[in-house]
Amino acid sequence: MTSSPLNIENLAITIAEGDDAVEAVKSMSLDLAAGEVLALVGESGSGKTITARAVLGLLPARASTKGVILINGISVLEATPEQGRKVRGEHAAMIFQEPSTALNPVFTIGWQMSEGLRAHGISDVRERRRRSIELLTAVGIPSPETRIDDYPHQFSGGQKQRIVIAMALALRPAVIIADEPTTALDVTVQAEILDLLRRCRDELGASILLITHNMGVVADLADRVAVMYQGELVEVAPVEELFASPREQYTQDLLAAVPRLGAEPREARDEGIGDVVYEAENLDIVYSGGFRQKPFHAVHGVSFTVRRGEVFGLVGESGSGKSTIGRSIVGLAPVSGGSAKLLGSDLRHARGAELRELRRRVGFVFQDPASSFNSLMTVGECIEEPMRIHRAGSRQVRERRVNELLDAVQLPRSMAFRHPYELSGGQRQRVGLARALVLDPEFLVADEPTSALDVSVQARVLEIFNELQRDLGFGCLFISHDLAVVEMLSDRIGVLQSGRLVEAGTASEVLQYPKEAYTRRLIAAVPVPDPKVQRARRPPTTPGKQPLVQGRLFQ
Amino acid sequence: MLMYVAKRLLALIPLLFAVSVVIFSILHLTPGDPARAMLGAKASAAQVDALRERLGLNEPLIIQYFQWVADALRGDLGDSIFLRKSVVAAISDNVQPTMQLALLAIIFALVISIPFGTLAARYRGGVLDQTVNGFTLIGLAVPSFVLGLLLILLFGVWLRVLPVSGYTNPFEDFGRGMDSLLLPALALGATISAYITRTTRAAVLDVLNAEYIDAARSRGVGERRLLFSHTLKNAGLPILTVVGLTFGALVTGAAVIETIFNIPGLGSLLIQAIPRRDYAVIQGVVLLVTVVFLLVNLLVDILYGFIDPRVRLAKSGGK
Amino acid sequence: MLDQLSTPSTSIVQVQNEKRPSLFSRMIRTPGIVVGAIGLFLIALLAFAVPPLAHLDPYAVDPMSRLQGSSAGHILGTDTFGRDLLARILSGAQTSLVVGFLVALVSGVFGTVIGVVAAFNSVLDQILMRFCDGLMAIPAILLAVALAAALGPSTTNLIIALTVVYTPYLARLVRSRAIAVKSEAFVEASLSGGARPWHVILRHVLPNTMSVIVVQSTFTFAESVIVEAALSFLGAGVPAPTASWGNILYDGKSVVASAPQMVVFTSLILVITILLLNVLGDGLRDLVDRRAQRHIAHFSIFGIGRKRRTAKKGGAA
Repeated sequence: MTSSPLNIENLAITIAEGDDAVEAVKSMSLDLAAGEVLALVGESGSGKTITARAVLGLLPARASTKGVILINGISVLEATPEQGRKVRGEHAAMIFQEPSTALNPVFTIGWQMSEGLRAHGISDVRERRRRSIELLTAVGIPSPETRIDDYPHQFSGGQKQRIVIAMALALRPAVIIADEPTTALDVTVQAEILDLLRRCRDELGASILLITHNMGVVADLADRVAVMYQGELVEVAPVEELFASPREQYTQDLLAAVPRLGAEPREARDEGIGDVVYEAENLDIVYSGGFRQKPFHAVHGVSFTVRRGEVFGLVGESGSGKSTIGRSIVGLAPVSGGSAKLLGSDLRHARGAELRELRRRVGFVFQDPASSFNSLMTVGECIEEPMRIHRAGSRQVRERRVNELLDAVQLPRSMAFRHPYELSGGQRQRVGLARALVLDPEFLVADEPTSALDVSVQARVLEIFNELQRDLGFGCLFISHDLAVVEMLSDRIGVLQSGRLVEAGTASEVLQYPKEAYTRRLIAAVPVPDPKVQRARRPPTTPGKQPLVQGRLFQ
Repeated sequence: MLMYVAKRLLALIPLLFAVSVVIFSILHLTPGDPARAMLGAKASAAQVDALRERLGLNEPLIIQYFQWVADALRGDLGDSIFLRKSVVAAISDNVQPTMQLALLAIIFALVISIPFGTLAARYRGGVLDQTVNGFTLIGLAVPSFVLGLLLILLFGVWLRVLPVSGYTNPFEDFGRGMDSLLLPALALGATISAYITRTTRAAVLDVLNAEYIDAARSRGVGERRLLFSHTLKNAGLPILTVVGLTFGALVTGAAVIETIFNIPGLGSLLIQAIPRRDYAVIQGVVLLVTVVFLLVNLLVDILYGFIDPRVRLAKSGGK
Repeated sequence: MLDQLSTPSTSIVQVQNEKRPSLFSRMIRTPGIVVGAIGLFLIALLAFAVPPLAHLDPYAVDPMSRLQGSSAGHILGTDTFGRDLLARILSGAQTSLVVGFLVALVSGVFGTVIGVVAAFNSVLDQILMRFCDGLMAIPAILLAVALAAALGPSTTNLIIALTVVYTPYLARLVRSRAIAVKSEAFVEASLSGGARPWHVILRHVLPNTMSVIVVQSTFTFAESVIVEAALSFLGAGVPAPTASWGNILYDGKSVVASAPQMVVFTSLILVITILLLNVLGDGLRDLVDRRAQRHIAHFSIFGIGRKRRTAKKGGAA
């Protein structure tokens, strides 16, 4: 009928939830052409991941399917278990979102790689080992001959993802399903993995179904894009067409919500900027570590200031110490060396009542809106909690203040009587903002406040945040790994690398004319959500790299 | 790995200290005079004084404690006045049946629980799973001594196929020995197997739901191999822990079972010592069983390190 | 722990943000809770209401009618002293329920206090937890036997002994749960806002720990009933002539051939009681949120809960 390696026709998936059934995917049809990268995009709950798992027959038992999925002409949904098993690995393989959970912790990676080969009839142990080593070499694991006998926890996150990719490539399947392959990784590592995936397509001719929520990744890698919303396919178009002239309203909204680096920098301004609210000077933070554990030096000699009315953006990759600095301001991490002055008081020496008074004047917004509320308390109680801690105001006063804040973050007042788990992620994060602002703080620390949110929700929360910051004029330390988000909100930006501040300046100085190599590397690694631009700025595949196809591999 | 074993051994020292304080306290915090309690109300004051002197009860508590620990470290757990022999001798006379009983019970429990727990998890929600769950629920609700009594009633009184009392050493007469141990081991093993079955089921279920199992499945690994090669090693960790921890239940359960079946083991020794207030024996048995219990769990910890590279390589390995 | 990003969810099924039914309605929809609660209520009713109403006297000795089978005067027959077996069993039920309930309650209270103190004070933590470790290293029944033997035979002493045995398990449980709650973002939010420890304990830690305490106490109840019976059976528990299931079983053992009803009926009610308590505990545990469930140990007879292995996350990142 067709020569494309993957056809999906009228696929519908329902999932039993107790007595109810949720229609996760409603009648979708999709073709993946040979050698094509097709991106399946959508927000949480759109059904993209479950579609991907259905292709490989990895659905939970409570899921039921209708429709047809053909891989190289084999009907996956109708296949016997044995046929299905043969398809997996040989014709189609999967790359998982979280490489650390996709590898079994108690077996060596060599054993796990050879298991896949063994399942497809390669019975000679030495042959399996030889092939595994070649695969590891191909995906760029250094000294694979020895590392093949290591356990997953001995590799870094990026290396683990390379190993997962090597396993997927093992039998050179026609279809590779990559489910959010870079979401768990830092941007610089993400760029390397995207490069590797591109080479899988270019050099091996594999077709890739790329599941992602990140439009930058789409622009970087995809040839065609399929947009999903609430279990339905909204729009399918070639990547350039989709970004240039999205047809559907949903796609337009989705693209509009994506923050773009260099798109709308906050203009530098002087009015409204007041006294220094926070000043770090040669700040050192050392975690003493638990019993018999080595102390961990998270932050080295960092100096910067935040003034009233100004947003200072702190960016860095995971492990750079950016959250640690934020946490040290509210006493959740120790100040071990140098000085940190908060509203004129030295955090290292403040004690008791003085410290409590400082805390009253500082707000903190947490990253994960799901865990930052006590689920036994109502939204109203969560918001007014800081007032109760500081015994500020009678019940009526507190009630009035809660209502004011719900108005400010644009939530209905009736929400006060709901419980946090009944709210969506975006609503919860707005409640988090309300709680942080309830005592009218002079300084606000926001630690990755939107990184757990979908882009459209993120856009809304950032908008509200921006408005409130301008209106109320508090100083803010905004911590994020997302350069585009930081650029959107910050007056000034600091770049952290491994606990050291490598560069700081106004937003345009740092992001448009970066002085430091690391900052440039960081900016270059962020894929721009525009395929034309992204193609131009993508460095050509580094020469001198070993080709993926080599030696006797894949013969 | 050696470092790991050494560390586990070191961690045992404070625990042993705490245990010794607790066991020592049990005797010495007894209300009233232990010597008086041992001799009964009819004994004369002189007799009590003599016993106090002999037991060292006139020394300050702290001296008594260190004396006791020093003796215990030398392998001297005191003498039993009633048995007219040292506690160590009394224990070594009685330890064999208990060990045989415990070993037989744990073998019995493992043979039943590992396969059934695994299969129940594999076919979750099916008929087998529900049957297994029903049996474990009942198994957990029937204390081993009650089961022992019911087994006596069934096999000894009604069916008359197995002896319900007494003990023959299987090393001397294997057939009769096994006959004498079969019912007690069954009674003892049943509750434990219910517990291990539950743990196995939960552990296997946990692993089967792990992403790395799906990942292996996505590479075409067959279902049987997934269950037996990929899952059981991971699931082995919690199962191993539980098996180690059930050792305590095993030995104490054996103590109760022994009295029912009139087996001359540690349990009988302990139980006979209670009405006599033979504190040296009580202390000695509790100390011995606890130390063995801790050693068994040390062994489990070490095996754990063999299975889980993250534990083994936590400090020394890595990059 | 630093900078750990949680990313937009790609979970298979999106959880709907609908209103969760109230605790009560979730309870009556859990079969285990309904069956367990009603069953235990009935047993308690039988134990405490029937003897006075039916004029059953568990201590009325009648040497002329020893070890008789069921009859109009003695529905379940009589025991070795000619006492009414039904009266003995129901009186034994009173003993078991009172002992089990008091042990669960008192060890629950002490365990909570010790656990919370240990979670919030590192110096006391070291002392208290070393002591708890020492107690928990000794197998539970063994420790109960030794304590009961040292304190001497009486129901009160038995309750004290069992409380000493079970409090460390509760304390460990509460401590680990309290520490887990303490590291939750909502407690960090509270602390970063300047909250005092008391505020955190009363508003966050205790409410979020209560559920696991209730579940664990139900299991402690069940175990105390078992251990009470075992100890009484061994002669180290409730002293004769007080009725206790363990005592009846001990008397019944020697006459098991001639009067099996003593062993059979007593075993039956003992097993049913334990079963109901376990079913109730399992049902309650199913309502507890999954993260908290890990802290609950089903049976501390087995020493489970003595130690908890925290799988170390892959280190070399």
